[in-house]
Amino acid sequence: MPAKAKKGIIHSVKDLLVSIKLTIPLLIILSIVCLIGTLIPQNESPEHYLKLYRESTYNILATTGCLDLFHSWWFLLVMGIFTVNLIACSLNRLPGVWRLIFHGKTILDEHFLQGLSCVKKFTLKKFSPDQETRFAHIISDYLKKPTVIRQPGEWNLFSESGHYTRLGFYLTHLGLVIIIAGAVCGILGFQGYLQITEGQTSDSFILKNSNAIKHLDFSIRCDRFEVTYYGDSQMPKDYKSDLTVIENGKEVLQKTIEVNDPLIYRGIYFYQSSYGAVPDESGNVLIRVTHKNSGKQEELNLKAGSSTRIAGTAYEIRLDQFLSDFSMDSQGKPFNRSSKLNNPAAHLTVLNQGKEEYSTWVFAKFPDFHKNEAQQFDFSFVNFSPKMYTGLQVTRDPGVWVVWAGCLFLVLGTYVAFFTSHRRIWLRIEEKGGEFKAVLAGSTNKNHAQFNRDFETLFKSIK
Amino acid sequence: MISSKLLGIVTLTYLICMVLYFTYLFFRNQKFSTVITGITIAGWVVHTLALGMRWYESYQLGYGHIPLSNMYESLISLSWTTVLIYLIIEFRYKIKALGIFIFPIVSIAMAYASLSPNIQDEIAPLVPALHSNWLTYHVMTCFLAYSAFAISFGASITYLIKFRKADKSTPAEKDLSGFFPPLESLDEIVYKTIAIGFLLLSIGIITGAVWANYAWGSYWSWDPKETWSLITWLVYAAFIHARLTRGWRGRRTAILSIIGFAAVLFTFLGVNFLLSGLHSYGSS
Ligand code: HEM
Repeated sequence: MPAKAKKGIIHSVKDLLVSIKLTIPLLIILSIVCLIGTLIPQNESPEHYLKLYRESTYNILATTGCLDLFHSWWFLLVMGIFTVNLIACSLNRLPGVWRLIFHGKTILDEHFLQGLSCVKKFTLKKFSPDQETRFAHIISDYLKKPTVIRQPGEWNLFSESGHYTRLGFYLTHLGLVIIIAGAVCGILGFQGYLQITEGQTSDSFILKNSNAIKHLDFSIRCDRFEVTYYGDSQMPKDYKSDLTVIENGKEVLQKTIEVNDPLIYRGIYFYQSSYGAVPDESGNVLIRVTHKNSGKQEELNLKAGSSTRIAGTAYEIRLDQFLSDFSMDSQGKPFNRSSKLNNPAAHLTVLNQGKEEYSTWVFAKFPDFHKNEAQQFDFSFVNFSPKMYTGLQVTRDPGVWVVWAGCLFLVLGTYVAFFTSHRRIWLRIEEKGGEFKAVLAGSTNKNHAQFNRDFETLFKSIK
Repeated sequence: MISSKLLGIVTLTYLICMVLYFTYLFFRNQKFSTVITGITIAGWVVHTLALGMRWYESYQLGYGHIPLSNMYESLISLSWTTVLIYLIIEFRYKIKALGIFIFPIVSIAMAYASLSPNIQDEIAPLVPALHSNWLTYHVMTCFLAYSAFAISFGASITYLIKFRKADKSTPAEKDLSGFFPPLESLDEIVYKTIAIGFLLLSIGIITGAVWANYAWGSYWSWDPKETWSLITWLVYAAFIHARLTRGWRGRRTAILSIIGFAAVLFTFLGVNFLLSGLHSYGSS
């Protein structure tokens, strides 16, 4: 491609990027992209998608980034173009707006008059300094004290208010750019999850995106966890955790957190997000096994999901599941009704040389329930002392205050841009052949109807 | 409960208002006009009392929350803000024509809330996440915005009807369209209400973000309701730029305003009924 044509394309792309013609299409494109992002469920598991779509469709959606649309490269590209367009357009207009604010026209000339919608011409028989003061008074009652520029045979009164409000939409756009910048800063932060059993201390948590473990420079102890309910109902009213921050072996901060009231330490937020019960502090269940034939007893420390061999036999016991509030649904399938410790139960499977023989439920509160004569073992809980754990969301977002600052600018700017106006009044009086020719003119950048009515009143009181 | 009875009366009053506003189309008379406005204000005052009662009753039940927590309460409160903003516009612009569009919407919303089997009207306790003053700030600003957009929608429809009639109408029809305010006033109402709505929606989205940040540690998570409120915001931003920077007026901006209101409806209803997410409380 010849160098000249190439330069032409670059130039026209550049011209388009800085043009306000691009803004409305961009706003509409962005809406459509967001719309697509709500029609296709985001960040679900492949199984979920394969239930919704055919595999070929799923593959296309996955490779084009439509399943995590708001983080896909092309969404970021659209946002980037949006930001560039916003900044470029605003800067383009800055010199003009600047001139309007700080070097506005104070003296009327014929050419300028033609562009104004509110103009009244009239003739005065005489004009004296007294009258000048009177006009200045009327105008300052109406708007602001006018500046008076006197020239031989010519007087110019000029008054304006709200010239700074021309900057309103700059504030809006600046706010938007700051919000976007704040969102970008968010990349430096993290989000994760932390589960602490009552009485335990933890100094690490699991990151949301990578499932990696991240260490903190301090540790958090959960002293107590509590759920409160509405009256006698099962409906939780609030979750609360008493947390203590420990740094270098010293307790530095204590706070009771609840939903909507997090703990903040060193810019890291700990939110109350969930809770539940674990069999004991270590997450293990201590089960007593009785050999029916010999009456021999043994205590096994079982970890969820793993199996333990009974010494001297080929049998292994596996802890499949622990429920804090065992219940059955309409099909007779067990489920955890709540995280309260109403009916703790463990599901055990007996394996003989690695082969599953049978399974059974063991209940903490009903040790004799479910006993089966035909089976060679009896199971029961030993010293059952389950604990509640508190589930905390851990986040750090260094951009969040930047975003709030941007939001403040955006709201203030939008208010100024819509609901305040820049109003100007000129009065020019020229002496011509013994008469005084006067021109009263006015302009506003908003709310023209009201301004026109006010202008009429002003004209009547001056004439 | 007293509040339910009062709300029944309010629904009936708004239905009567709807009929009266239509009747006013044909019998334009100053006295009649005052009577209609009087009835509307009375209905709105009772509406205010009913919402206050419901709030009070929720305290008596031991829950204690502002009536903004489920679909039923949302529809009732949204009707309340809509009539409020309608009355302000009626006084400010001395225009009755918009009542023809607003009262059918409001009556349907109220009646649907009370009668639909899909909507529970009991006062229910709040889940812990909703226990926050931000609920009030966030939902109230959003609802005021939606109401402003509803009025702008009414004005846009009126504009389009009048615009089509303007040149090719019989004298009788001319008389009818004389009932509608001049095109320029309608255009101004469309713009003014969108300006108010846009500012309120911006505040509504921001208070929602602040709250989300307090409740679950992330100010924006692209959940469908959030995303749809952003879409609505973008459509109205396009409207504002079309008008202020490209000089669009009248028919084209009226159409944009109608598209914007479609986005509002989807944000408020469609997301709750058709999509799922954090805000799906409304489907209960
Ligand atoms: C979506 C977010 C946006 C909002 C809320 C917003 C808001 C506003 C507002 C309220 C005005 C009115 C100013 C006036 O009084 O005339 C305005 C004007 C303007 N906007 Fe935006 N804007 C947004 C995005 C953009 C973008 C992306 C551009 C990119 C080019 C842009 C370019 C302009 C320009 C050039 C004006 C001209 C103002 C004038 O008439 O002097 N805006 N904007």
